[in-house]
Amino acid sequence: MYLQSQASERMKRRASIPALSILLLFAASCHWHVAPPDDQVELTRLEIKTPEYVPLLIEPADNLTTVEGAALGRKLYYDPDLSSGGPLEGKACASCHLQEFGFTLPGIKSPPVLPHVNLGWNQAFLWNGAKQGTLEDAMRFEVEDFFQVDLDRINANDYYRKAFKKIFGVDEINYPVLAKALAQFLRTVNSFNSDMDAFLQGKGFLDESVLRGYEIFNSERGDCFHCHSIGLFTDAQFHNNGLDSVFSGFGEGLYAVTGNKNDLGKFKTPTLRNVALRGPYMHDGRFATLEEAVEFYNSGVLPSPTLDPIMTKPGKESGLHLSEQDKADLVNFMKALTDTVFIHDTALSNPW
Amino acid sequence: MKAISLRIYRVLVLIPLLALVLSGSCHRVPELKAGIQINISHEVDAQPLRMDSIAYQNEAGNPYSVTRLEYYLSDFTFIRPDGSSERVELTHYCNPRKAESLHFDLEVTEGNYSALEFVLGIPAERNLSYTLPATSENINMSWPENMGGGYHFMKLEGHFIDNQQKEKGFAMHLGMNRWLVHIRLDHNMDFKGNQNPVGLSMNINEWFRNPHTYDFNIQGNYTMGIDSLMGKLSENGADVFTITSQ
Repeated sequence: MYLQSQASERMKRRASIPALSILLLFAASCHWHVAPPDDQVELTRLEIKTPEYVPLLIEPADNLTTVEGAALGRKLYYDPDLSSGGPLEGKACASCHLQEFGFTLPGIKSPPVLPHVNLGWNQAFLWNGAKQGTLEDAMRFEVEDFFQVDLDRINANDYYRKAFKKIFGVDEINYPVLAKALAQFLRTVNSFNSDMDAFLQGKGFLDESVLRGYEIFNSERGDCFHCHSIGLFTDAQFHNNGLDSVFSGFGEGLYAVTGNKNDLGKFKTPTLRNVALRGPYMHDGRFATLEEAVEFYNSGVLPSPTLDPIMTKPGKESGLHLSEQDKADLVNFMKALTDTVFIHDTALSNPW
Repeated sequence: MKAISLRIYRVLVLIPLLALVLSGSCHRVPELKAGIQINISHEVDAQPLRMDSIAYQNEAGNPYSVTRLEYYLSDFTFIRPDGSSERVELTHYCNPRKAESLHFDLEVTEGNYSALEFVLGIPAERNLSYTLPATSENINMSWPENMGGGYHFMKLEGHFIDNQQKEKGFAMHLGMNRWLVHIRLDHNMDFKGNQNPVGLSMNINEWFRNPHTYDFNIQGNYTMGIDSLMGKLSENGADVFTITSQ
């Protein structure tokens, strides 16, 4: 829906907060349940709460997140049995997406492992957008093509067979329902409890350097906000940020997917949430540290026909020309996006 | 003179009054609403807009392409020949890369109208951070709090060939309450029933033409936060739209 609201809807919304609160209280006390197919038990709807500066989470009507579905997806996520007999024998999703690092694996260069965080908002996956669609579509690719899950083995597992019957109403587990369960879990893998979140919600303070970094990030001095939008800290779009002037191999980016020369060198903006926990940085891991990444934006931007227009402002064609203090402040700002609640959340940890 | 009791007096006065009121209400013609379908298109001096192609030239002679165009239209006011008007409050996000964003519906009272007014952007009372529904589009259109908050009114980006024959980017970003773009289109419109399509076409070149000739090489290829440039864009924006059908 693009028709935003009849004007002053916001004010009306504010006025109706007490009424809404009462309704919510009723809804909470009534345990909103998801109606199951005839032979299934009732499932408990899992409402995913997000701050106001984050886009609404859109869930597909045929795979609304439930407590039971997310729990099943969590078991799958941590289960190396998913890869038995396949090319990734012995691996689980969690083998390369470690919670302590924000659900990624530091140190990998080609390409760096993208973090599994706030994926519910994505409609394009992988660095170059090679997988597009819903989270369910992406997970379908993971189980069918990447892990090549042995369905016979999964169906032979009594726990899984009963759980999928109960939650998804299927007698036989297939790739689509495996993808649905994983997608439900991943919609709960959300990070909104960093120091920056506390600040944005008026519940916390930032130290001086972080605050200066926030102002550089969020103004024309740094101009980071256009791509790393406050909230998810990604606009989930594709940009050429000036790493190269000539493109080949994986460096071609989105072009490899679309065949459109206007997409040469464009990669999906990675989220900056928990960015200090991972590295190296950029699609080819060329920068080992956040300091190096910031220095690139400061002095190393290269021209090319597809360079993002916002990176060509007068006098800053090759970089931002920030001071040493500015750069240190930007790094400190990014470190304030580390969410220690998230990386220790037992609701997301290995359930086995 | 015969004496009239207060009770009879009241009856004699009230009955005609009541009859007058009732007759008025019984004969009032209900105002019927007309359904209006707003359809937005984009052109460059009569050529349909084709994204990502340096196929256009602005008034200053800069060859250019459009790679991004996102903006809001708000508060449509339909003006009758007698000067009375009907206002529909809304804010609508438009993006030629998202076809579904180029159509929306309104309702106004049936009848004849002689002009349409609206704004490109978001009126000040609603241009506050996080007041629009939290869609990805709206969040990505946020104008940073430390630059005044609210939303970008428009992002118009692309590439151009500069004076040295090099390809460079441009980003015409518009925001902040004082640069709201006020648009008035004089046009005879008759609305009746549910099907009343109104076509609005944005001519991209008008952003660079009147009253200010905008040259990317001279004025600059980046406007955000630069009042003098956003002011020029805002003034040029008054005639970027035309009504193409009704």
